[in-house]
Amino acid sequence: MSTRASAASVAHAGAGSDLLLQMDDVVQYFTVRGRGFFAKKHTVHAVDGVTLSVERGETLGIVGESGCGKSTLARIAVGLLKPTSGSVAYEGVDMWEKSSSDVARRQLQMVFQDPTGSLNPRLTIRESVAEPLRARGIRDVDDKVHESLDLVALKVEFADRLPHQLSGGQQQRACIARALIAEPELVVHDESVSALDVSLQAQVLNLLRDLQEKLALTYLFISHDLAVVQAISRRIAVMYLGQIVELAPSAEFRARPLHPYSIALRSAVPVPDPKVERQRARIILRGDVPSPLDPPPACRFHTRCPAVEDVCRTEEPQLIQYRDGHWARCHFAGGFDKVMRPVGVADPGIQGYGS
Amino acid sequence: MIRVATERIIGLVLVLFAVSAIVFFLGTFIPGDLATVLVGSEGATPEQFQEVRERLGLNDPLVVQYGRWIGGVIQGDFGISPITGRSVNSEIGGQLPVSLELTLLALLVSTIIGIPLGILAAVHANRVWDFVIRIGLLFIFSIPIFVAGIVLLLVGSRYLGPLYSSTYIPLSESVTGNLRSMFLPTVAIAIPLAAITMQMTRTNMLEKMGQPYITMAKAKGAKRRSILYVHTLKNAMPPILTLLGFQFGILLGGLFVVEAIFSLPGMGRGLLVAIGQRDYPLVMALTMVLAAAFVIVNALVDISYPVLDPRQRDS
Amino acid sequence: MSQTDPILRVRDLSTRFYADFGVIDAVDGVSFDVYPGETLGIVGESGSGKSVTALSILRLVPPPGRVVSGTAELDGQNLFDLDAEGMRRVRGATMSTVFQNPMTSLNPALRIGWQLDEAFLAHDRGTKAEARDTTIDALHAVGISDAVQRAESYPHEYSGGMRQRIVIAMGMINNPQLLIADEPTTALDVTIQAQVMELMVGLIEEHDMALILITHNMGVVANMCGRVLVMYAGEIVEEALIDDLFEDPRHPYTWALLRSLPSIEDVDKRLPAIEGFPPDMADKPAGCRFAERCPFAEEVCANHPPLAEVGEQRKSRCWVAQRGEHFADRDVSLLRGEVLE
Repeated sequence: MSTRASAASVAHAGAGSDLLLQMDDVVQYFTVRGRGFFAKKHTVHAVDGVTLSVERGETLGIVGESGCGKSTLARIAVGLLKPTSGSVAYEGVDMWEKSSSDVARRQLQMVFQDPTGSLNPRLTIRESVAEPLRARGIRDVDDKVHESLDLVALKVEFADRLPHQLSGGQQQRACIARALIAEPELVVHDESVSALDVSLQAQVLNLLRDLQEKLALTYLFISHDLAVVQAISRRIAVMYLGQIVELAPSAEFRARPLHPYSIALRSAVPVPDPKVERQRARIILRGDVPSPLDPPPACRFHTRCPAVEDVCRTEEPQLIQYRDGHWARCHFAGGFDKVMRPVGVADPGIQGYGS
Repeated sequence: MIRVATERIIGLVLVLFAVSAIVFFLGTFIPGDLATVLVGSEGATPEQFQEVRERLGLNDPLVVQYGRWIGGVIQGDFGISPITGRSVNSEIGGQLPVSLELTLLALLVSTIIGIPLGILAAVHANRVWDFVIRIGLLFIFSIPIFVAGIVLLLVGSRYLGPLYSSTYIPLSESVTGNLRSMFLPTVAIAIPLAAITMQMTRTNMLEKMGQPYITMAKAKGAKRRSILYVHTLKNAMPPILTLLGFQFGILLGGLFVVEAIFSLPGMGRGLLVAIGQRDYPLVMALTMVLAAAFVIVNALVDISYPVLDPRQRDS
Repeated sequence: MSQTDPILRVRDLSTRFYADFGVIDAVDGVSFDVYPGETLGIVGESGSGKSVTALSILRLVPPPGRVVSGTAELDGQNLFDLDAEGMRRVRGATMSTVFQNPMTSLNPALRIGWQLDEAFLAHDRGTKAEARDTTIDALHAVGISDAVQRAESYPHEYSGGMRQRIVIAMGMINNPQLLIADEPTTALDVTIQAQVMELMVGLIEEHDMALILITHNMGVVANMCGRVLVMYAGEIVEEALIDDLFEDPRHPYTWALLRSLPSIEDVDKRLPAIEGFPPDMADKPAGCRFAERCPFAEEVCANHPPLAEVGEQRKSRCWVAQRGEHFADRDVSLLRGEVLE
């Protein structure tokens, strides 16, 4: 690990840095080929230079839309995927160095989006939840299984049922129990509440909070749903086409989003209040999200950005710190009054313009 | 598309080479060889025996023998049959059209019967007609082919005068005669075969009928016929085509029972006889032809997939 | 709202699923009207019966489900009186549909132009050439330029947002009076969702179409609907005009739902949450179906409440509300969201 790289990730962390996980300039390219022997190869730039660190005890949220690379980043963070380049370190130790990797792996667990897909339909809940312990050769698991189920408020009688006999919310809690049974320090949530009903989401999010406090957990929380991410995270990172475009403490992000994509994202979320919806100006981005097979040159967002200028098409912006702990990747971050064009009636309440 | 086809053809040639090598080397495991067949039983002296072997090149290393054989094959020369004395090519030339015609007729008839019945069974799934069709065809499928063949032969020779011919009449001689001689054998094969095609069609249709785009088609008021024959069938076809390609390969050389019962001089029967007589050149040639047919037809089916399923085209 | 006749009148609609383990009353006596040109939202979560209601009206309920009672009058004609052909003529013409998942709504083996043409031709509206002209126009109307080339392409060549536009175009081809959209934007990315919402709002205004918008997303409802039905466990539990619903919810479920929504204005905090889970529809409670989760439940809730008027264009299925009580000012801390097992 180069000193410069680790300094960057330290700098990216919030105050009081006891860093649990450090990702330095992580790049993940996938090669995709067409059919046949002589077909062209294409490269998917899934993650393109992400430097991020997670502090012990915090919840870092990552938000973005399809193709932004957040799920790939989740898998790299947990050690399921070895990055094409860059390093991932847990408690200061490189995760991919043979001798140390086991220890790191034990402390990291992941909860996936689709509980039906991640629970083996042929195993009882007890067997599924016990798997992480069995994988380490621990045989006597019953007590631990009950403890884990208790933590997620699943009654013991569910232990001997099969997944299809449980509701979606119960299945997801079983997945959480499974992730917790090995007493991890860091849990990565990849869209873990996205498949749940809205009223259940609030329940499970509160449960995750309680567990974090009780068990001194650290979370990396990934979702496409900005409201959910904000509700649970202390810090938020916004990803677009494989890069982080903004990183800030949640309160800062809410008050003063700096990157045009963040502003557009926030604007696109419909607000459950008809009066507000009627009045507010929405920024509607045109066109589809470009493909990670062929990201636009220079600033990747320039093809859809309502505030695009010439420099955006030629020079790639770097992730720069504007305020304490608030980073943005934009040539004009924090200065949009002249070019942000709201659609409809202007709403002077939106901050971040021309600040 | 052209790129895919070219690759397929190159792959095909490579497979055929591999098959030819396997056929040749397997042949060497059969006790005895060409020399034994030619002079072995005639009380030749060991020296004469060795001389024959020398002349036939049987003392050369196997690889060389293979090279000699495959060289001939590429030029279209499969050698001479030691049993009949004629060229293997003319032997196959007589047998191939018979088996080919029988196979194609059987596939055609079984498809004409099987696909519509499969669609019907799917439309009426789990109701009366579905059961009737499935049980009926299953019953017929369960009858051993030699039983069915012999029964048809007896019935045919007695009662079906104009539809029956006791000997094989080649197309070149008389079309009606040819069809008469092929009628009963085709029936014997096609109806049990139709059971497989029907079942495959039914399963595929049912699977596609449950897809959301079918619900969408109904929701937009598409006509019933269109939903069935265009929306569903087009998506259900690829596996059915694969099945047909597969069946072609198996039928071509596998119809020896039917060919025997109905006295048709086809490749199935021919291959069995050749093996029994240790007619090595003929055995290897027939095996090669059958393998080639199998591989070629399945390659054609493969190439047809992108035509049917646009998602598989290179974009 | 104008005093014209409703374009759709649903009365006592009930749909059942006959499964191995029991009978599920997915839709249980649902009645509502839809007026020309209005956007009616039907809100609910899984098991509420909102999607099955739509499928019931379309008469496309998959087996083992069946509509067991009720009527649905579209422009005066009871849809359940029609034979198969009659119903087919209605679908895609007077009444169109947009389903949730654009990735699976289009047939992958057929060109999109053909699929759009079919909407026109299946209703015998003209020749193939005329169909193609209409198709091109429809694609333009949904913001797809170079429509002539696009018509020859296949669904898999498009992203989710584009496919949904194509499905919307397909629904608009015959100028329906009513469009039923079941979670049309749920499967889309948020920025694409905004695009598609804007598109739909524009189209329904332009064509003066009625829209039934089915969703679980209260933000989408707030943005697009004029009137809302809230469904829970197969029944309508509240009916209100949009502003009234959000300002003054008259059913505890609505109140609790609105208070427990994560919002982008919240930051890093514990959310109010409804405790427990929706009831098992194969074994429904006899009284009020929301009672076991309701912070305001009383003894009277052991009796099943009817859907009754509680104000001007307001209905609620709650004894407490029918007494005249309001929930808007009640303390949010009542929603502790304990997981009830």
